[in-house]
Amino acid sequence: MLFNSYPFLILVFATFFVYYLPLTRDFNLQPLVLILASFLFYAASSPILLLLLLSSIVINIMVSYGIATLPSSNRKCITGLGVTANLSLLAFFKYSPLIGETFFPPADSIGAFLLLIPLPIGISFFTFEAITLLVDTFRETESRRNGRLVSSSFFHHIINTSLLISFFPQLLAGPIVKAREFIPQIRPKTKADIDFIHCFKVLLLGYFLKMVIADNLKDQTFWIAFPYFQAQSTITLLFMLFGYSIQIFSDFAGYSLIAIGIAGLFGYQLPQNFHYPYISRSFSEFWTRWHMSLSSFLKDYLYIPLGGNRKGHNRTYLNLMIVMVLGGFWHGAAWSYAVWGAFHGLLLVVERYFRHKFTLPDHPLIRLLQMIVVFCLVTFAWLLFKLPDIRQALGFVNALFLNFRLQPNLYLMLYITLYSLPVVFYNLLYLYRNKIQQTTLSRLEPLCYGSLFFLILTNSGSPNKFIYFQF
Amino acid sequence: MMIKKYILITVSLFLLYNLFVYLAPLPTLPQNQWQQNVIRAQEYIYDPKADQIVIVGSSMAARLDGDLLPKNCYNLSFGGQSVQDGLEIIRKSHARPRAILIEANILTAPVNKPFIDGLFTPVLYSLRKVFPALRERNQPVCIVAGCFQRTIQLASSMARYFSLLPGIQVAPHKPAEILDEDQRKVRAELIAYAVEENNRTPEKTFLLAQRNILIQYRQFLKTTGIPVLLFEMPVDPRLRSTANYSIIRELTHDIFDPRQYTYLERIDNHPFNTTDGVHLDRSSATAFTAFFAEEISKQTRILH
Repeated sequence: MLFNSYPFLILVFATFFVYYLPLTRDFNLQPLVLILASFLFYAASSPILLLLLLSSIVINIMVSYGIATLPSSNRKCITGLGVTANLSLLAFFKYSPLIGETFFPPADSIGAFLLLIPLPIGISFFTFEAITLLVDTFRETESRRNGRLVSSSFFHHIINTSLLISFFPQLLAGPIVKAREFIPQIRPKTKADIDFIHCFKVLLLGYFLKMVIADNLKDQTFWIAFPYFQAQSTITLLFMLFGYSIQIFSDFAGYSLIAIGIAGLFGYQLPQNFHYPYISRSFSEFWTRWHMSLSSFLKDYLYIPLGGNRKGHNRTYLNLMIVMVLGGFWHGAAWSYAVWGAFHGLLLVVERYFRHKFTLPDHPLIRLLQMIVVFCLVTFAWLLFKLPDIRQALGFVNALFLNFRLQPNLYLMLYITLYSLPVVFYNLLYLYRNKIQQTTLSRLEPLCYGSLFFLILTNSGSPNKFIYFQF
Repeated sequence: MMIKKYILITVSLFLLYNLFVYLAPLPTLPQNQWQQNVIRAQEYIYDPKADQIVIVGSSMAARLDGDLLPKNCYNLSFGGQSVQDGLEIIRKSHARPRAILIEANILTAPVNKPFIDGLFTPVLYSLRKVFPALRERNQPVCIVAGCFQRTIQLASSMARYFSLLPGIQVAPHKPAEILDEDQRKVRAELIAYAVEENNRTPEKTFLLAQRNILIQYRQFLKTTGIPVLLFEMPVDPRLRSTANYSIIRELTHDIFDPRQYTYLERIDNHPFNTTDGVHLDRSSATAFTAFFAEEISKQTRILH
């Protein structure tokens, strides 16, 4: 069910209406209403896979309750088993086709079976959320803090866990919420709790990024696909790569904003997922601005447990590489995603190494140059998302060097420029926010949001799934 | 209060833009094939002309040169789509053309459901009737690109004009149809691929399902009394004898019996060139449109 489809809008309005009925609040049925809406939302894409979501919920209810109530000697073991169960579920559904393709000959029956296993939408996201529940419960119980995550009432615990894992605004593509941030928010809500203006603005920006920018750019960047790129000139290829960078940002940031806006309508605050990533001056800064909820998860639940930067330079570099390669693999079941992760890992390692050796002068031109370098390398790496077959990606790079004599596709470049301009402007506005008078900004704000709404009505592209749904 | 302000600005911009596109229709440039198809369909749906002859076809007939077709002829053929899409649009829009010309090459390609659903979405379908700004051709970016294209065309015709003046050199215009060795090789490969693909016979269950759908369309056309004529777009001669082509032709004759329906004369003796065995190249499409337009005029005189 797409966020910009009629069924979704009907689901949101119907849920909103029932959610705020006095009866629903008085009988504490609000979380139950959200859980039912979430199940409906998930079942809309593939009803049979609802069983998988339910299995994940049941496993995590039992395990987290076990962690909180069983003697301390068993806690670590149960937490380990629970995390393994979650990761096994993820590995089986997400990576079986890759294992079948890589390690089994084409005619092999096991290989053929593995290739047929479907990828349940959103599994990467809800599995990580479930892991946060188990690990946070373990940490909380170990530190003998009062139990906030696992309610003493088993019924409430069922409701809380079900809502954490299935909450529909972020079920399919995040932001990844941590149990310790989400469960304390589960309490009766009233309309007075909601900042409608904030939700409206966030939703408007999200829908604009998705429907106007990303959905239109996808038709222009389509030609990056094999074998079409072979017939495009070098300059057109560079424009398309730039366009894809803007598209993937608009698509995912758009989705995240819509999720945050809709969650806000039900009184829940989801973590910010993007914070102007393309103005980053370093790769480490980029990862604190891009898909922030994933970066935060990887840092808290993988990088720090591995030792983080506490065990010397070499170990830090190794940890960075491990985290980025696994993070790459989390994105998709193809070796190219591991290569993408390794590339980012390498950039982080090199950057960290040189940071100890040199300090660059703080000059506006240097800062601009840093931004350009980071943006270009990040954009170049997105190629592996668009062309997951590494041979095709290499073919694209080859075409970049060979096709400089071909005629550029003027109109394609024009469309990419027109659709990228709002995103460039959005970033510039943030960069120079201190140099623009606040009164001017607040005076222009209604016109800006009015124009976004107007463009959503008149210039939306053909609807398409969110890119991150495949992960 | 603030939300009301945002909405008020949106409504004002929207109404102003409607007025603008209504009073000063500017050139538009589709951004992709899908959009081009949507524009073509919406222009038919929202602006049907009386006494119109409608061509329904696939990407093959979509290449017909619009400037050479008779004035009362509307080409409702879609790149990458099928004859059935055109028939479905006619059925759903309740427009009754004077005659329908059906491209008989690939009648079995099914309807593109998202395309048709998008055109006839309940609320939007009615809103687009009232507000032209909601139609695809009036997307602000299409209009900006259309104006850009018009400017380039103007500049290039001015450059050509000035090139006639002594002392000014302009790069010579390269004819589109001259192919280099590589392009010829690619075309030959594409034609060989098309022949190979068309030598595979379609599944019987698929054909049966398509036959039933086509019978329903035939029934609809009979009920409405719209005269139907059929025509074939020229393809590479090697494709005509393939298994797929023979089966589809047989099925077409079964649905639209040549004893009851008029088939426009097929032009087999002209050396038309295709880009991939199936689609005519630009000059061949122009040459074929001239024959075709003449044939339509002949047939429609009979229809009178």
